[in-house]
Amino acid sequence: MRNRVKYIPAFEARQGMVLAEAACDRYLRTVLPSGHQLSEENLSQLVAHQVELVCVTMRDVRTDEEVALEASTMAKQVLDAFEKADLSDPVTAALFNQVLTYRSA
Amino acid sequence: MATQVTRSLVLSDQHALPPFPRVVQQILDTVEDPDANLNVLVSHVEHDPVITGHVLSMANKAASSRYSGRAIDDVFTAISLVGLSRVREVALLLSVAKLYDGTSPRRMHDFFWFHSVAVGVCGIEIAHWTQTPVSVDTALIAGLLHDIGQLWLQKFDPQRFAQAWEQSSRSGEEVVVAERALFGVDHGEIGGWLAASWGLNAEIVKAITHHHVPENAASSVLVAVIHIAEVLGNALDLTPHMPGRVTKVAASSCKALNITWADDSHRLFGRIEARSRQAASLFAI
Repeated sequence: MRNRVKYIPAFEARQGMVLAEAACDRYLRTVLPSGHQLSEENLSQLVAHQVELVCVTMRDVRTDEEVALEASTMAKQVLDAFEKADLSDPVTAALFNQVLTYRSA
Repeated sequence: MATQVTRSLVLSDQHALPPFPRVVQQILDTVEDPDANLNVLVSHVEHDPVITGHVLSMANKAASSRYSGRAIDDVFTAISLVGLSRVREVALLLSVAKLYDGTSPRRMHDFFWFHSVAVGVCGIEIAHWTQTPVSVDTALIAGLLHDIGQLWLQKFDPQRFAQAWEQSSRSGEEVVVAERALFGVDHGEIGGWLAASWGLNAEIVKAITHHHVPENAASSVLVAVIHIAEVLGNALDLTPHMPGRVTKVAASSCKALNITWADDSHRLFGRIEARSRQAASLFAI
């Protein structure tokens, strides 16, 4: 079974999700540690501490074919976005590679 | 010969845009003073039914997991639950949105607005990620207003503005090149004139003026933040239906913010996408 790590707005967090990174408030104070499984009470804690974004590990229920199809669609989207970019420029090329890798994950 | 755009023409024809919302300046003025901030915010939120509605709605959503059955109907409680900084962000977003009202056609309005929100969101996350001394409110406002010069051009002369976009699309050059050829000036400069006339601080004026040519203001961190914010907004395709908009990312801006586009960039990209969804939810309430 594959897992995916994803950032989500805190209001999308649900009971049972596992934090892939510590949940922090705006001042970078840790509210809940990495690896913690969210309970109903933890969701209230996120609200109380005004946590905006959390990074969670989610079960990836996609089939291999779906993963490949999505990666190819995303890669096309990145190529379109960089269609007019000067990829001979090393800084722009480095950004392109990172966006492509990110989208293909 | 078509009229060339000058500073005096822009400033005398400001009525092409709705009046600049005063609350933006009030919030920016008090950013370092939390008590004044709270007073300004409560007062503004209470006097603006749209912002009140959003803040109460956010508070009630947030509270649903804590206080079962008890609706929150006063602004003080709502702000204490949602958080001062988040309410400030919402007030800024909803206030600046009014500048974009009445832009037609509808797809033009949507493009300008979604793109501006995307750049504002990217600006916030880049400022966080690089730990630059740029406040979240400043990054958000600079991002939301960075293309305000295009909005002015579009209202001033829609046909010539469309021609500039067509030329840019055909040639592959940045739109500022076509704008300079057709109007004698580009949207960055026009936006800077407008921002200065609204009393926005010099850093925001610089960021709006130079976001396409950040090398011209290499000492300004905010210029670098907004330049990279626009590139990332385009690279991550946060503005629907506008492919092919990345042309270059300025090495000087990356250097100023110490960004190397290594593997940890994925964390920044992920946070930007999540914050974009958070911002989008605001307009779906």
